[in-house]
Amino acid sequence: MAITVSSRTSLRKQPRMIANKIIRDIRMNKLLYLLILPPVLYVIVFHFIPMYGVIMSFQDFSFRKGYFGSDWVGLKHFVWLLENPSFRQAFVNTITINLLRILVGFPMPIILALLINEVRHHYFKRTVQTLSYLPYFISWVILAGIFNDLLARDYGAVNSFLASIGLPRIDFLQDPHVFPWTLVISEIWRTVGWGSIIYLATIATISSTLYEAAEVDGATRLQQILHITLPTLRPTMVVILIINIGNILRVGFDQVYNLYNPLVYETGDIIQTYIVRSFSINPNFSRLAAAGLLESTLGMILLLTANHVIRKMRNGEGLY
Amino acid sequence: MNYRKFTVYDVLLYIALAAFCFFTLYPFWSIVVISFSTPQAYYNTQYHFYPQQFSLEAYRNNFADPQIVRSFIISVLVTVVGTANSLFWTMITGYFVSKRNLAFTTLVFTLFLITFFFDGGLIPNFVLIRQLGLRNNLLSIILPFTINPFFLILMKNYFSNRSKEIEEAATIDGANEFTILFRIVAPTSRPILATIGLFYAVFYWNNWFWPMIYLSEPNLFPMALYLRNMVSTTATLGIDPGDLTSQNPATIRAAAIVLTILPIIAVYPFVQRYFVHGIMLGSSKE
Repeated sequence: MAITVSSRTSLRKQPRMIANKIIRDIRMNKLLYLLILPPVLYVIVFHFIPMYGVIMSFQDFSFRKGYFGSDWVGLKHFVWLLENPSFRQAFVNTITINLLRILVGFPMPIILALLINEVRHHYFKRTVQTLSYLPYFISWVILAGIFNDLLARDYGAVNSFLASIGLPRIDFLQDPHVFPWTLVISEIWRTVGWGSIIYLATIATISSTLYEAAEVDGATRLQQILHITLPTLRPTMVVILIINIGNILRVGFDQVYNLYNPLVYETGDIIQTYIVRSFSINPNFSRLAAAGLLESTLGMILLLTANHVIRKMRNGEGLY
Repeated sequence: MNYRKFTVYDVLLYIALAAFCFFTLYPFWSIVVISFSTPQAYYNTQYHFYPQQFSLEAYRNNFADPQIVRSFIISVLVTVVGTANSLFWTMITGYFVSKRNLAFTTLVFTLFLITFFFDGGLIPNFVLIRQLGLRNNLLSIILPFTINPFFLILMKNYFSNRSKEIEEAATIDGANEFTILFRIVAPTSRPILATIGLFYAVFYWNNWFWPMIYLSEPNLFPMALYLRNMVSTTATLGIDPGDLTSQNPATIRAAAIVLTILPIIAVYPFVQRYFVHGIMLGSSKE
């Protein structure tokens, strides 16, 4: 009986107590709350209003009628997209290109890190490392300009080299069968150095006594790599791999949009380039918003799943 | 350091890494060489190790175009203002969400965290900018990018891990939060501020996509977008850049590329350690 009474009073009191607590909290930290007001306003206006705006994917949106006046059309745009061959192609391409990129690209930074780690001249090591990160900071607009020259069929350096050793010229940027590989390889070229940082840092944590002991036991350098270095890198590899898979739908836009052309749409067009191209040609706003919503929802699910898997692996320590 | 013999494997290793450096650098080097060549020399050579016929004509042509000068100035302006604005608000928000004893920290942090996983996409953002009347206004390529959730997470982790003793002492001495943040926390957080600031600067400098969407007046275009239009006329038409019929001679394009890259390359050797610092902060939470 007594317990029931006390719990009832606390229930009644609780909201008021919490409110009092909050008011006291705000009063005590007036300045901090004043400072956080603009960022909160910012995140609402520039992030949450567009998030709310995705409802236009279920409408026939027009600027005149706005979000509240436009007619609801249900899943019309989604059905149209899923039945549209170019959108389906773009969807398949997005996954194909990114899977290829992971398959071929994933081992590269590990190999580079292992190679750099073997170098004993400190100065040479630092130079290689510093140079290797550089391309990561150059935008695809610029890189596309450079690659257009380098990979050109008749004048480019790469094809001139192939021709000079008697191999056929390759249409890197205009042959739809080759184009995905051009994307994969140029992306590896851009990110391999940057990706190796994390592995090199992990290698640096390995105690040198392990290697010394192995050497005393007569292990070769290759054996040391296989039995000491690689096992230490395994947790990092798994995390990086999962992040890559989580990002499958999110990456690649800048690169593809700057490198592709109508000749390679069938294998090179990805969801985001499909959206942006349609936007600049003949925008059906609601339909494109639906395409974006499909992509970002699937992307979010993938990313959250990836994070969940990592959290499980690390016993509760997720990435975010 | 153990003194192993310099074996045949070492020789192969050094050759492999030297080749790697060559493949990393050659694309950049070749574009510099092309920019200093005459168009004729460009069409007659396949490899560009050094300028065959040295010429400043491509640069003279570029500087004669008032648009490229204007675009360069706009890029500098947007990068400086954008970075300052982003860094200021990211620091304030990071400081706020690192406070454990406040009632709203979790709520505010969650709001920003959501933006990391989900965004409205191109069209709703475009609609917003149009309705705010920010089209063809440089604010449209600064304001929406004020706080990047990833850098906010880095900032928060940094602030959460630093020792609170100095701040507590300052509070006892009567300093308010404003003083603590700007006189104590900010000056002692210089490495993380430099790292995040540099990442923001690279973003603003390289940004071509949002300017392409939000700006339609060419005299507002930043350098990256100006360059994109120059490069993509050849790319999207599928014209071989070596083709004599292409609109912009390759040497002029090369010079424009060099001008756009130059600021990044010029500061890169001095600041690259901060970038490395950044990725380490982002990955080592345990």
